Amino acid sequence: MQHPYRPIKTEVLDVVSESPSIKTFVLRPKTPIPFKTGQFIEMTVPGVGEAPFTPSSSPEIAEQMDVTIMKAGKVTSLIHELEPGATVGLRGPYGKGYPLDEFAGKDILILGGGVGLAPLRSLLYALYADPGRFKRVVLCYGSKTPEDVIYKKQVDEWRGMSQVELHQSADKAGDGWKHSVGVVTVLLDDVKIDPAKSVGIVCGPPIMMKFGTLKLIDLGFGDSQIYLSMEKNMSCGVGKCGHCRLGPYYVCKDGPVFTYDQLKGIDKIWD
Amino acid sequence: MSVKFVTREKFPEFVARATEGHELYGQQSSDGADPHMLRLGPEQIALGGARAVEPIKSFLFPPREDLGEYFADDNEPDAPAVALVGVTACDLRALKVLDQVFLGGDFKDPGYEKRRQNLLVVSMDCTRPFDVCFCTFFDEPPYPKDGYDLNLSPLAGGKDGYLVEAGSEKGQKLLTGEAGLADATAEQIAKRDEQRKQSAEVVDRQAKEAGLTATEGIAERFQKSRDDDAEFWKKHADKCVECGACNFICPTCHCFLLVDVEESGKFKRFKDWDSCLYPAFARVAGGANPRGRRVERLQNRFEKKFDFLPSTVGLWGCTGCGRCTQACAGDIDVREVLKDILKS
Repeated sequence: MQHPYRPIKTEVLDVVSESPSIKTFVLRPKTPIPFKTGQFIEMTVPGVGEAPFTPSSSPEIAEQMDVTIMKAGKVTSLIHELEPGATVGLRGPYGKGYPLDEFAGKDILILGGGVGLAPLRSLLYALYADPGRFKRVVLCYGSKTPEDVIYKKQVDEWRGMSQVELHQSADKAGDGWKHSVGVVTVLLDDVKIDPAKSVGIVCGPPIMMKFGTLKLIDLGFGDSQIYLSMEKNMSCGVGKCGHCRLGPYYVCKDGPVFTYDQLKGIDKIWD
Repeated sequence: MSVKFVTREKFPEFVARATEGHELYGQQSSDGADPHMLRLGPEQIALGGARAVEPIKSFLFPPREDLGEYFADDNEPDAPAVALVGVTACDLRALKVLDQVFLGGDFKDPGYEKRRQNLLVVSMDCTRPFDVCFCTFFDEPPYPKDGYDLNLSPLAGGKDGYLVEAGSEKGQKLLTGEAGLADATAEQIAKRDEQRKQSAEVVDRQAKEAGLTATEGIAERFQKSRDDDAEFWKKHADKCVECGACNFICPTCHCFLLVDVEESGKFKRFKDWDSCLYPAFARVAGGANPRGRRVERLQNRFEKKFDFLPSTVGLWGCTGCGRCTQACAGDIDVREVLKDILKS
């Protein structure tokens, strides 16, 4: 069995620049790491430390994975300096992924903000790999500016796909922007959806998660129909080190995906 | 299971046989001094009936554990067989919490598991509670009920010998091999029971004097009101100097940090004790910190012990051993905080 705290040697195969502060790393671990969409891994910069990320690639592929990373702290800054051929460490997968069985037969409304599109891209792969199982997939994606849109090529592809209904917004945009302007929740005003037959999935910065959740409730979504990807200080990943406690849960072990119903009574979930 | 008797004179030989093949740690009590678990020879062990200053957790969960080199294939941590003589009931209960944390769930902690398997626990009745002790508040007596391999009841502080009982298969085997030991007499057992009763009464009186009568409602307090700005939380948090002493001396505190280092071209990882009172404990990349204020961190410590652990694994995260009260540089008394929580 894999040691729970020691990483697997992993090669960086490719680095894709997504936006000024976000890059995608294509990684090949020495031993494949099969994961469920929504589960996370810990990525190590040798000798420095590690940080948790949710893979953005298809869960159908175990031999390699994409991890999309925003430069935010010490470890992520060093990761951003890595080039193809570099060695990193990976361990995982940890936590519970998106409960796809519970999504079956429903309309799926996905709300993504900024780099929060990363785990959602993995989810989209899983959803459209199994067409017919899910009635309809609506993606509302917001970014700060048009420049901050990640997976630009893919987003254009999704626009042409019948399986995905794409709506886009930017907080601020110039004349060239053909989509909505404003925070991502403005997109929901144009989406016709029956909350009773749907689930809402939200992933993005805390403030966006908060207002996204409130908007979905406004639209008539029940607390247990709203799925949130929580981000806390997941250090060990296996429910032991104590850092990511959130009320009665450890985010690493019981999440990172929670329903709003599980979280609503807990203090400071958006902090 | 029958209770055996070991005379004072035969006690060192008995300890030597029972702990054979183990690194032996035990208490060496001199009158009134605070006891520690020390590396001793069997003839040096003297059990005075008080819990050790330090809990036993570091034997299983060392302050810094070498997790080995990255990318290595070897998976087997090395752990010597260790025998601890003189473990008190409070630490046995803490062991249950640590077992849940490190051996429960989908992942077992390999180092802990190995050390735990190789641990021989020889406990004892607590006959000399500290004035900060309040274990009876949790409806637990100051003598071991379970969780030990062998338990010793010192009679008259060991002067009149020890009663021995097995509490596990391992312990039973050890006692079965001790054909020379007499069965305890009814009189000796009555003496033990009287000592136990007296200790329990002392602790019970202390707990009640500190205003701690019943645990009922503690968890609900956290669920009902999480008002950080309640006067009493501020009062206690104002005294905290964020040193982490309460965490490190606590028999159940188990938070840790994975620390990476580079040593002469090799990459290694260590598992170090961490403290939830340290400002960066819950901070995430980018700087957001759900427990940025000290009062939030102090509250987290109590919530974890009196709400999270009871509700997730059915165990109190506090044993009432009073060590944190003794260790706190800011004079925060766990009993005062509990009293305030119960009143809130």
